[in-house]
Amino acid sequence: MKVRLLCLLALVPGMLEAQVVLYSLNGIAPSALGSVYGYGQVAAGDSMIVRFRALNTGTASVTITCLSVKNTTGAGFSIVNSSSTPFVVAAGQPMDFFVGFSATAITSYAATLQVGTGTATDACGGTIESAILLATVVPAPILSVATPCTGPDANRTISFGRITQATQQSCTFSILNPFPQALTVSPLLVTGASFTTTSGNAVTIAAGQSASFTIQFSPASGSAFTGTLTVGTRTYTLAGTGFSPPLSALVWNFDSTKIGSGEQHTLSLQLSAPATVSAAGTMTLTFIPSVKAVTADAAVRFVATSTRVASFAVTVGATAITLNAQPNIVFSTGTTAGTITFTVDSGIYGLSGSPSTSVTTAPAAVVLASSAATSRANQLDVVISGFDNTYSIGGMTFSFVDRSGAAIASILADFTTDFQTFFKGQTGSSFLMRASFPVTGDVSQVGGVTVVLNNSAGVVTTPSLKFP
Amino acid sequence: MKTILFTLMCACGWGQIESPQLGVMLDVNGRARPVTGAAAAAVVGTPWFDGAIISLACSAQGCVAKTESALFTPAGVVVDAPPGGAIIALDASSPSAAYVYFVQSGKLARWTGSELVPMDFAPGGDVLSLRAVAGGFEYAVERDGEIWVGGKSLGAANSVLLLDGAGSLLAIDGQVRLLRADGTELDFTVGGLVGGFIRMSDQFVQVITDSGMWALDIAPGREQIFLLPGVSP
Repeated sequence: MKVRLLCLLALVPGMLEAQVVLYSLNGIAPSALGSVYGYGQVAAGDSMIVRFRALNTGTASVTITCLSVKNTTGAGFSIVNSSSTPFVVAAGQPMDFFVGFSATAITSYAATLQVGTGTATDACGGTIESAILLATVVPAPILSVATPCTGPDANRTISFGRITQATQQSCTFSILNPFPQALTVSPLLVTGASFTTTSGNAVTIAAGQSASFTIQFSPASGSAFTGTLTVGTRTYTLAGTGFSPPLSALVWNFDSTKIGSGEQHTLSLQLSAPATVSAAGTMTLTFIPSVKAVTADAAVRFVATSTRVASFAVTVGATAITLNAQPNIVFSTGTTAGTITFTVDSGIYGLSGSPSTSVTTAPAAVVLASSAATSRANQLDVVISGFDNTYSIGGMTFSFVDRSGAAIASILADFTTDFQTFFKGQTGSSFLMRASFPVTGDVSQVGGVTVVLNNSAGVVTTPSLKFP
Repeated sequence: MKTILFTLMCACGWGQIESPQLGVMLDVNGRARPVTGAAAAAVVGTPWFDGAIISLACSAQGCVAKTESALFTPAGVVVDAPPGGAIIALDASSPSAAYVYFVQSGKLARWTGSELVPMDFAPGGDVLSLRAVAGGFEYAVERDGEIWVGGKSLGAANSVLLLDGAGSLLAIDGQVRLLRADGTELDFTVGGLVGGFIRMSDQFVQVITDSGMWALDIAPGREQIFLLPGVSP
């Protein structure tokens, strides 16, 4: 019975072969390996590597004791990477290995791939899985490219470099036939959305001659692009990068060269040259008071949105920039002396020149918005509103006159402490002040008052205020 | 005058300095917001009513506002009112009082500060503005493409606001014209078509345009127009 079984095993190796099954892998997808595997055409001097897999389909582990490639025609095949044998493969598990081919002679090549699971001592004797490997070496034209392109490099990449988006870069390619007979290069193909060529899809080149063609790189946007160039059996990577040129320098236009506190002004922006790309970003406003005691002024901002950020946009070919979708933007200077800085952030588009400009509101005398005088039974009231962008208001002089305009009295007053206390709770220097004067006597004899207000930047005087 | 019959003593204190109030505006969402600060550097405060207001008028005596279905004051007085917008004329001679014309129903009422008292009214045209005058009120109507106040034509305009006294504001395309009682005129350019006026206070009028909110200082000698702060989305 034992003899009969051994004979049966020798006659029907497939029963044992079923434990180790060979596959080739194109990427990660395995394909069952038949008795012959063709590498196809390989350019002279090129190498081609194929990944194979020996899969243990049995329920018990198996030891691969032999892994070999025996060249039978020519000498082009070799195992380039594998685990050393003997190698134990668990049930259901694979052993992968790589077989390369490379040769220069223009002819056909063959080899036998063997995977043995015999005993360690008989190496590739015993049970063997095998396949015939075939390859044909064909003449390889020599590809070159003229500047400004570079390559092909070791990875067969040809670079078109970096060019402005929406422009075009043309490079001349040359295919040399170094062989003593005519060479037909087919296919000759270019792929990739940003790469085009006017060449045909095949070319025949006389012995020792060259054929030229051009490829255009036309990036539509600011990003990296790749394509392929297939020259016969060889495939090259075409690479290029489109980029957006920075926007030209900003031209800042204010509606006035003289800008003070308590004002609204209009700002418009232009580019010094038409934009080569439609761009968008933001413009921010910052304010640094020149008054030490103050850190902010809420009124300094873009008026329409009550914010300090505006959007900006420019369309390709235009110089005018829109701000918050308008041709200009209005900002308030607030009521605090300081420096207002506008800064454009163009993001990925970049910007030539400075992205910022500043305007300064200088310290000024108190600005009066209104002033009035009223009287009550035994009291005179003076009401003044305005703002003081220095936050130093306090000293005042009240000059009273009678009904005929003759001076009655002049009173010096210092409200500095009161104002400093008031300003601490404010964001801005606007104020409404009521000064009251108790009167002894006939209040109706007081005809009017003039108030002089002092601050660190100067003096301002109210009109002559009449008591009713 | 040689004998000074009075003495003057300064009596200023903490409470006598405050933020100047410019008035109350309606923002783009129909919220009534106080406006403080300097004219061209104004700051808007938080809404004093959490709801949409469709008509508003304010003066030194206070505000009267109209929602879709009620008339109310910031003090909290609320009464039911006919639906739709209203033209409100505050009566300076009677604090808290006003004349209120309900546009949709064409009815006029006297607001006493606590209730609406219906009044007989036959304007003979579309009423565009009201103002209180001594002993009553005046109104502007549109007839034959012109604005009329009584027997006087103010000419063609998109909007009109009758001011206290005898002045008025007219909106003509992108211009606002201030007509003084003495016949003088001042024109102000605004960036867009004027959609209406709101009396923010005795001194300021809000000019609503399709491109922004403006405030016009109507005080004699201080007339100026500036943009009101907008509301961030």
